[in-house]
Amino acid sequence: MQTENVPSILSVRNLSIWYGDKQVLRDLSFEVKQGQVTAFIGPTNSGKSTLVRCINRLNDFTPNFRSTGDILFRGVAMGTASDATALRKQIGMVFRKPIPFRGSIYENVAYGAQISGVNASTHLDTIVEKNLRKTGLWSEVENILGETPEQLSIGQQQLLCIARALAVEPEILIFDEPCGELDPIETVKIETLVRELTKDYTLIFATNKRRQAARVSDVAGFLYCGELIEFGATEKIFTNPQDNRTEQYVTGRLG
Amino acid sequence: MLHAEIKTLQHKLLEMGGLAEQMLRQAVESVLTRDETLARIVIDTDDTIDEFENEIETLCIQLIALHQPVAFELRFLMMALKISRNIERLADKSVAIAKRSLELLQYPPLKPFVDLPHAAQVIQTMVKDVLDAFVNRNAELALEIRERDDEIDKIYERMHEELLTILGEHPQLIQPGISLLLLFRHFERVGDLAANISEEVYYLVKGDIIRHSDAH
Repeated sequence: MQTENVPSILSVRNLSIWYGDKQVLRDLSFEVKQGQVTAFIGPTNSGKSTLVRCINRLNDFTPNFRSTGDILFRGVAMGTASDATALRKQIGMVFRKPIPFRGSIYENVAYGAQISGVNASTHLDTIVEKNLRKTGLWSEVENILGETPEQLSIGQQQLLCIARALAVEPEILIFDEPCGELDPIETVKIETLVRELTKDYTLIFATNKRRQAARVSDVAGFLYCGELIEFGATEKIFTNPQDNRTEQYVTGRLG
Repeated sequence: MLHAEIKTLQHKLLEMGGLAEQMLRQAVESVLTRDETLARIVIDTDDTIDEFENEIETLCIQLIALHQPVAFELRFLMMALKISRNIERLADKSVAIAKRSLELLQYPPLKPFVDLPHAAQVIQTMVKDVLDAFVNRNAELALEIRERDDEIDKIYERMHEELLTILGEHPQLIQPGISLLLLFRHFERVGDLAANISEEVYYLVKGDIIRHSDAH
């Protein structure tokens, strides 16, 4: 996909992160383009999760967390947003392990809309159905909406968590190793969904499965020891990387 | 996801193949009707074919790198690379035919073309059919096309001998004679290239390499 001429939705400028004395991200700068999948690849402890958590401001309460630099969402520095909850409504997150809330399948999807003030049940019904359909889960759960999600497979639970994240109508959706717990068939489902979601959302993906990043992303960034070694069009990263460390990583000789 | 990309790639290959088929038709027409304009159109179209080849090669490399395909998808991408290369060579032959056609225009007609229209017909049908076999994944058609190359070879030998006889009797015709000889040779090569593509289509569908096996 062409990356030029697509507007940026998120700009990261000189971002550095410390946990206590330990620096985990080093002077990262990049742009996330609207409607694209941007994947961050790198070995364990390269800083991928820390980075995507920062974009969701999930590190706000981490002890000894310190940062310099800026993350701008639609041109506004996120650090200055007083209301992290409002921000998270625009930037949703899906984690490695699906964690359905207590309550029914229906309530899981309706939850975000409810706390945003949507109450009329007919409207909620629409929201629940629409978002379960978007994830392809609707036909599998339409007759068991009132039941708890425990009976669903892990893959279905992950799709439910994605539907829940979509129900608050975010602009950006962050996936932190979303297929870490899934089998290959479920992984294909999630990857196909990710590509479909780009019609309406901007997606940011952290994964240590380099092949997954190759399959799903438009733009890829290689993180190594907290440094963004290379960032650019995925086809370029995987066919002709410019840095020797990226070459070593994508060919499986590093990390 | 790869499935959709493969469809795009197939579409591009067909566009390229269709263009090469058109070039061949125009090149042959330019020889038979002594039409200079057509010959120049063929020569000018070659750049577009080269662009197609580059685009298809880049796409194949990217898809292999990004998706690590296996089974049919792997065969498809590997054969797409080879087929596009052979289509490009085929288009080069049409350009060569068009250039010989321009050379022949400088001389009066050497002899009435008897075998040439027939050879042209066989070759054009071969190219058209091999693209159909590719689209329809038709291995039987691919095998049958490959055998038609023998007919081209026989016509080529016949035209070659006939021309040598004429030149023996009329040595002053040596220059147009050489142009015509080269032209026959290009026809024969187009048949070989179409046969190559048919072998690639066969491999794509069946997974068996028949390149070095007997055509009979």
